[in-house]
Amino acid sequence: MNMPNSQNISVLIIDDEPLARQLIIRFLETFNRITIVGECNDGLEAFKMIQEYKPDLIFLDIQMPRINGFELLEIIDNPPLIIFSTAHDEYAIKAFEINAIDYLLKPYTRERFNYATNKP
Amino acid sequence: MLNPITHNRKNLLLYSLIWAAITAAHFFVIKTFSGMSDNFLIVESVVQMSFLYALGIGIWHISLADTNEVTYSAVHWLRIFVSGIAIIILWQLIVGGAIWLVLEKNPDYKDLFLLALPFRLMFGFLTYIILSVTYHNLIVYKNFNEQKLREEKLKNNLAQQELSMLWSQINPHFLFNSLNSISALTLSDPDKAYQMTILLSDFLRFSINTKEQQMHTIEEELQACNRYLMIEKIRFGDRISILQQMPSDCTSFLVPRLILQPLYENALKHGAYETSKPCIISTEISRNENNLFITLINTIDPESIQVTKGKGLGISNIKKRLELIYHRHDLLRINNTPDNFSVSLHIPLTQNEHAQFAKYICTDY
Repeated sequence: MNMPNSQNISVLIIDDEPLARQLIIRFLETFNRITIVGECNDGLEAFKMIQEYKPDLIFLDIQMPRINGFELLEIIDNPPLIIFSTAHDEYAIKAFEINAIDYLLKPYTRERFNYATNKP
Repeated sequence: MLNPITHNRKNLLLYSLIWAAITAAHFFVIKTFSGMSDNFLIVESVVQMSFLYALGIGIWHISLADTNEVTYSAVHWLRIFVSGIAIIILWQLIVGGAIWLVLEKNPDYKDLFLLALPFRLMFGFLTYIILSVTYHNLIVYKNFNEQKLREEKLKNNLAQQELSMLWSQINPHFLFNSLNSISALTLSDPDKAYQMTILLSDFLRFSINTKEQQMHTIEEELQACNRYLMIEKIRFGDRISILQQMPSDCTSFLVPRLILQPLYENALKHGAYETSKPCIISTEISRNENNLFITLINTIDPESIQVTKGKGLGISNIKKRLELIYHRHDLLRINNTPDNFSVSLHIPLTQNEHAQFAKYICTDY
């Protein structure tokens, strides 16, 4: 699952709040090796975009319309790397169990975000 | 309410003992005035007093007939007074007549009966009045206690509602997501971040403040709800549209504090959080002389698969509060169609509103 540092990383942002997505995009601006392939505001849309773009990394909210974050992970075959971005702290263990690379609790700092994003 | 004498062994024993003592005293008094045999006088005393003994227990049920009234009116007391006189006269006619017939018209008994009559009438009437007043006070006291208990229950429920709303519903999802939106806005749109911080603070302050009075005007309620809705609009943008319609004669109508906010929260939960399609929440308010009618309608996405999840905790809380405040079970109605979810509230005018109005006049003029 590890990705060499030199390689370009494609990222999909999944969150139902426009402002939350906007913050992630802003924080990602400093990462040269990251390309944002898209953003979506619910699990179903995310499912389609993951099939289409096969991103290396997703930023994933949990509480979303129609299909929530965990339900989404159940229906995709080859899950990408996952960084959760959520206001709920009660799913952290579940996230750990499915090998998510990090779990960002909203609201988070730029430093905390960079630390998570530098992992892959 | 149960009869306090027949349903309490201790009271029944005490009541019986008192009447046994009165019967004995009665016997000794008439013995000094009459030369008739002791056996006859004992029987006479027991028969006479048994009637009052039974009457004393029976009065309870007459008093109870008006248990809903907190205080008795003059008419009520007059009724008790007149029926007391009638019953006591009847008592003497029946008991005296019966003994007279059994004794085959003994002239000695006639003398005794006539001599004792005014005293017995007075004593019987006094007994009747004393017991009526005692029972009345007992009922009023019990009603008063029950009222107090109900108010206590209501207070607890409200505090719980406000606490659970703040900690289990706002926290963590709403609160932390709002803070996250603010943190995003500080970078992209500081003016909006500033605006949202104020909105969030005002809304939280309003929700936390449990010391405030229980009722406020529908206008104040909508103001508080609108702060909440504006925060959500900033978070979700064009996904949420709010329509509100309130005629100007409704604005000062009193409603329970935070009665609408959980309904808006519920509407957003099912209308906006679970679909990416636009959600319209409309509020219609109308009134007649003594009632305010509020209807909240939100669109729902028929394709959303989570619509049925966790529905109605907020709504059942509201229903419970309305029952406790107004003692009615028919004040909240739900209407569900595939595209719309609507909740209708019916708020009766409260006595409180007059008090509020009086206070308003006193302070302003």
